[in-house]
Amino acid sequence: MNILTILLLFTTLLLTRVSELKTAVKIIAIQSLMLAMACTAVGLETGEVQIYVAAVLTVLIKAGFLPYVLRNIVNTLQHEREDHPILNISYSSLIACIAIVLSYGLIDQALPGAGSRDALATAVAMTLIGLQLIITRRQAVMQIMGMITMENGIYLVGLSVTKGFPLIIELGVFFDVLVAVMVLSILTSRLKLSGMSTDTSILKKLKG
Amino acid sequence: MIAGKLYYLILLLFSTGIVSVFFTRSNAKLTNYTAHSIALVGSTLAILCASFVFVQGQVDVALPMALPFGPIGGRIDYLSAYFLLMIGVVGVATTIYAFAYSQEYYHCRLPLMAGLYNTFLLSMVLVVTVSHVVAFIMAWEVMSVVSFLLVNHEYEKKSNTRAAYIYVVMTHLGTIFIITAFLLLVGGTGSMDFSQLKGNLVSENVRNIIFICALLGFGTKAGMVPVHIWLPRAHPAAPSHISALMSGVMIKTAIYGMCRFFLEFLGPGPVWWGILILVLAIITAVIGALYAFIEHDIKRVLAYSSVENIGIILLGIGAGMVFMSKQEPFLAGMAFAAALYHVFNHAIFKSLAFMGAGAVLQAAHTKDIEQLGGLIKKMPYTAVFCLVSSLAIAALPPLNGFISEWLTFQGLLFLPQALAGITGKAFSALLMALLGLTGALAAACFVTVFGITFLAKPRSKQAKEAVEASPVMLVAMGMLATLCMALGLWPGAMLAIVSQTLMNFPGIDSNGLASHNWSVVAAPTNQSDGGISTVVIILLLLSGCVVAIVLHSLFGKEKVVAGETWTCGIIPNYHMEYTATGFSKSIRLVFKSIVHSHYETVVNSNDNQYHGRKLFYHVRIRYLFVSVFYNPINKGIIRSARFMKSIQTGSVQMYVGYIMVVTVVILIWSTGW
Amino acid sequence: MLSLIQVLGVILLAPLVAGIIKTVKAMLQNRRGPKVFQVYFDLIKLLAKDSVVSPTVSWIFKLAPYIYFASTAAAAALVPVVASQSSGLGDVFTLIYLLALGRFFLVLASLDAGSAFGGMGGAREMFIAILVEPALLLSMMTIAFKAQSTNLGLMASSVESSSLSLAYVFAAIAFFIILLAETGRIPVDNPDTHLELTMIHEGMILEYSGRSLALILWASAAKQLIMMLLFIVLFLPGNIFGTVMLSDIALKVLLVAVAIGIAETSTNKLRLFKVPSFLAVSCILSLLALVAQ
Repeated sequence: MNILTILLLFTTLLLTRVSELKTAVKIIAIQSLMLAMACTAVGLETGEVQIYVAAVLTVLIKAGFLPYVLRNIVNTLQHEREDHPILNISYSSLIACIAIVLSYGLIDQALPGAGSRDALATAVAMTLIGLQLIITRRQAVMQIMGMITMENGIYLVGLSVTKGFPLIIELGVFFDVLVAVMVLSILTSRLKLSGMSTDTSILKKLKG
Repeated sequence: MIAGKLYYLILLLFSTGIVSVFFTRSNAKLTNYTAHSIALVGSTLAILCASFVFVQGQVDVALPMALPFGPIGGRIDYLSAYFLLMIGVVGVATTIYAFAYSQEYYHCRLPLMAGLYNTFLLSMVLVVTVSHVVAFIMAWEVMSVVSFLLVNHEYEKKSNTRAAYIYVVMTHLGTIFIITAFLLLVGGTGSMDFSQLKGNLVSENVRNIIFICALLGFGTKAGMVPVHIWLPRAHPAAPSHISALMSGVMIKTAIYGMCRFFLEFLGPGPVWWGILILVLAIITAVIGALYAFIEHDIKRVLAYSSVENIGIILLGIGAGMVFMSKQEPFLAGMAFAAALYHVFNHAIFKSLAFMGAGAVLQAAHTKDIEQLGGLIKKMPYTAVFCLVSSLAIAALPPLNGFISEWLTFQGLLFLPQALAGITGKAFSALLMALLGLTGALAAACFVTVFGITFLAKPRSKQAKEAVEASPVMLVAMGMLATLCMALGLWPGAMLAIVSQTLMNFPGIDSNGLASHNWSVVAAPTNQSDGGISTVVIILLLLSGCVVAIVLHSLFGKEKVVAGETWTCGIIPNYHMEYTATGFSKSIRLVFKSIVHSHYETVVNSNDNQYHGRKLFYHVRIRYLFVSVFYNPINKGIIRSARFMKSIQTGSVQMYVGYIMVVTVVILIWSTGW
Repeated sequence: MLSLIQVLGVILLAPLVAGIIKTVKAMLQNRRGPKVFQVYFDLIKLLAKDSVVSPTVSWIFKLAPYIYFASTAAAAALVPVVASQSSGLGDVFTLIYLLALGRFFLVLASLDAGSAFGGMGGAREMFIAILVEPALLLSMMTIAFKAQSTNLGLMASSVESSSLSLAYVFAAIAFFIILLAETGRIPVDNPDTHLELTMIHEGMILEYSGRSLALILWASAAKQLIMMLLFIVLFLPGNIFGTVMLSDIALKVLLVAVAIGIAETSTNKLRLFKVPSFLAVSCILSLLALVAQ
């Protein structure tokens, strides 16, 4: 479990350093796969069926379907890449490190001597880094990445704290993420169709 | 008790009136007759109910409604009965007037107006009779909203919509204060029934806050400075019989609320309460009278005059509260009696004035007195009734305005007995001098309005083609005019009712007021003399008339030759008559610092510079409280909103950034780092 | 009953007092003025004449002289000429408002004829009335506070029993200024000219002629005498000349008439918009009197 946690953190850090959209999609797929493996590990521990089902769903949706959709979008986008992020890549990584340190500190403060300290800290860090991705990137697809990272982090919290959410909640969360990603992909394709770039900072023109 | 049964009947009748409108809404004429007849019967029953309460004693009624706040009760004590009587009297007259006046609105959503009219009367009856906090607030809110809808009835005109908007904003500001006051009181005493709310159960600071909130809240509805700005805009915008009801009755329900709070709930308090009310009242009176004189739209003049009269009523209430805090029960009784008498008087003569204005509006289709003139020959009876109302508003003997104004003067005269020292005397003298000023301004204002509207030659084609109002409207106006004269001649009866109204409140003793002689109004001081006697005034006036007639016919019958008015030899036409703007110019100059009038003269020449020039003379005045008080507040609000706008960047990243910051802060804070 | 005799007395003697003032002014201005009884002759002449009435007017124009006369006569009954005769019902406010009633109708009548002179005169009359009212009330209050009542009889008796003081003199001067304003004397208005632009009262009644004009002029003279009597009763109390009460009052009236004549001759008419400052002097003096008591 710990190895998986560390690998998850590693992928997240990696995500902050990419600027090619295709690479980002690949990293997200790997991240979701690791999450599914963590889920399976928890399932092996507790032996409940619903966790296995959740793991399978994770693999199907988060590691299979979503990256497939996103790769299609990225292919239609042809030459888009994250050229001018609001904060450049080095700073972005730096902030990610600070976030990791912060989350470890918070977890130590709030729940000293917890068993799953690493998992919890990683989860909080993933959430924060996901938020940071949304803030510092202009491309809509990168923001989708950030959101998926956040979602993975929250899922990890659920896994490590409660040893698995009930299936209903998991289904609800899945569905929520699914819908959000669909909406974002539709938006992106519309933006592409209407000839404008998918740079979300052009949305500022809509200000009243 | 009969009064209780009558009360249920009143509620039932008004509700029937509201419901009947749904069934008759396709036929405007039928709606007019049915809805207004039901309202007429309801108002008459209100008069009867109030009279029974005065004769038989106060009544508790239970309303057949249950709310989550407990059973709702109504209580008609003498104060409620007094205001119920006023609602009934004005309601009867206005409803008779509405039979004929509504005919103008047959194509303008009459069923809606008739239904709202019944609702308005019902809500006012409920406001003065319920005794449960939540019921009171609900009835108050219904009254405000219904009157807003009625003000906005002719929403095709933009000025009406704007007036209604300002009205609804101001009245809800007032309602906030009223609710605050009630909730503070309920929180302190733990009960929602009026009889349980006693002010001595809360701490001193809370009592002061309740006082301020009640004053501001009810003052907004009454038209007290500085929250009066809705009155001069809303009253002209409503249909005339609704303006009569609003100006005559609705603003008095606010006075009812104030009396409830100050007499029953809070009781005698510190002296600065009364002094604050006195200062606000005299400013209200002077500002109202000043702007009434300067305006030249009939209904705006009447609306500002209502502001002035509310100032006079508040003078009585303020003086009464000063006396109550200094333990002078007789004087307090006299001051409050002056205020309550003026409440009734004002309801009568202001409704009469609005009805006259409505008749003029219907006949000449314009409210601007600069376009009217010569109506006394076309509308003789309306002119007589308007003359009666003008005399009453100007507080001239022998009508009813004089008596209540005299009582108010007496109340102010005895102020130095409560406020000792030179400051007390100077304050009291200043108040009386300013009250005299407002009286003179009011008289001048109504001389202008009556003179320019009715006398001399017509100033426009519409005025030339005016016809007399319909007999039904004349009957309604005649009823109120007779009541004006009766209240002026028989003050004793009214004073008996007023003194019975004030009987049960602590700190007031009103027994000295009702004297045995029906025509004498006496000041309850140590001396046995002092007071006015209406019989003596009438007899003196009549004997003076007799002498005048004798002198006139001393040398035989007079021969009258017709000769045109002297206008330096030119044939007189209406351009040579005096205008209302000119009439008030000297006062505009004297009060320049308040009014800030700007004059523009635009000369419009055609080619020939010796003949055919037209001169346009524009006067713009500044409305003191709007420009000094409300415009800066508006600008401040808009400025701070613009400042806040910079947070709204339109960028997705920024918004998520806000979320992130908050999340991190909460995380850190919640773990107690 | 006594009040009615007082009313008749005031009415009958008012023109005489007006004539006295004119004679005093003539003497001071080194000219031979009209006879003392000239005003009577004028009034009788007018009462015998027919009148010319404009067709623009309505019944208010015809009614106004009667009401003006009646209200002035009613006010005459309320002045407590003999202080012990406080009938208990002569109140300051009744008096002021009865005079205001007469003024109301006269101004309405001035607007009725539809001429610019009438309107202007009426507007100026109301302007002066607005300014005079607070000043008048302030100076009355100096006495009313002392007497704890606004009953004229009580005020007169309280004045009789009090002693002379600076405050009292201030109040007297303040009331004298108001007397000049209310009766339309120089420096506020010129009662002698009939030029439309220099007069206020005369401008209002320009359209009247014949018997109505006689009634109005008579009532104006009566109002003047009422104000003078009020001044005497409130500010010149007691038996100054040491004779019988009524002749004492007669001598005081003479004294006040001479004072008015002197005041009129020694100043000139103020511009209309300087009148507020003139009346403000009166207000300040009354306030000082109140404070100094």
